[in-house]
Amino acid sequence: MIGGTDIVIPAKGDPEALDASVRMILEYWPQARFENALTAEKYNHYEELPFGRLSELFVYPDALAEKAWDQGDANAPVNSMLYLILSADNMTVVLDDPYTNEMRSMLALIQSSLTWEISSTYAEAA
Amino acid sequence: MSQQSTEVLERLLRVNKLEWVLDIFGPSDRFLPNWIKQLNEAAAEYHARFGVSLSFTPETLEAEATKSPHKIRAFLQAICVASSPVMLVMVWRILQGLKIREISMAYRERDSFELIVRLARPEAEQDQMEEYKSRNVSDANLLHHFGTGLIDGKPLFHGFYSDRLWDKSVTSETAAAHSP
Repeated sequence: MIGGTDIVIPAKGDPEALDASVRMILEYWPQARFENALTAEKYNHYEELPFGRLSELFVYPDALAEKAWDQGDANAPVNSMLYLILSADNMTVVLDDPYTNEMRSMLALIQSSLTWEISSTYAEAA
Repeated sequence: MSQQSTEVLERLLRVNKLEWVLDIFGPSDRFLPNWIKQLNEAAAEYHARFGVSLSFTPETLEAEATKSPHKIRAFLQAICVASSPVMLVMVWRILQGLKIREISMAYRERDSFELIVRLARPEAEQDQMEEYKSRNVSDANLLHHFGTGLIDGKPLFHGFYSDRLWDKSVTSETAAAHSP
């Protein structure tokens, strides 16, 4: 099941923020699969992702996890899917348990990459 | 090379807030064809390395921009500073999702410079890395576009991102001051 924990990370709501987040996730899940949460369109590889047309994305650790979700497996393991939602000012990561070691590390990395993005925007405005 | 290609490239620069480039590089009817030549050389380099034909024409880049506009923006910025087709291919490979496995840079004032970037697919072994080498110091500017982070306290370079400091807020005067 996907849990009810929303991690909201300040971000510039552009495709680059989603791209950077996905790249960070790939550091932990190199075999990740993707799905447009709004259209159910699937992507097997990073390079297929049309970031300019995505605002909500499901990310599965691998094909097995994706299949389990597709089959409606009610016993899907904890954190077997992340739900990324890009908005104008934030990136929201919805997940089961943010307190596992892997998720703590992954969320910290996503946050640092998005903070870097924002800081360059502030520098531009200054 | 067609007149249409140069028009598409100029349009891409404007759409991506890089119109100041048109000012500092001189008359567009001179430098845009050079850029297109560079892009064609990058395509040839890509083919030589991977045996795959890949088009870097302005028309192709414009089409790709409808899918991932930020990647084309970053690539256009790379064209401004990259010294060779090899470096442009390196940038494109990162945009395709390759990981930055190793970077080494050596520099001696007024003497020498060498940059080596090694990339690999996420699942690739250590001996399957692609190597990109430059002796032109201008290519050090490309490193500024690499994302950085820490995984469990260990360093990570990731991705090639556009630099917002290059936006239209950079006036042509400012840009000219930094041009050679």
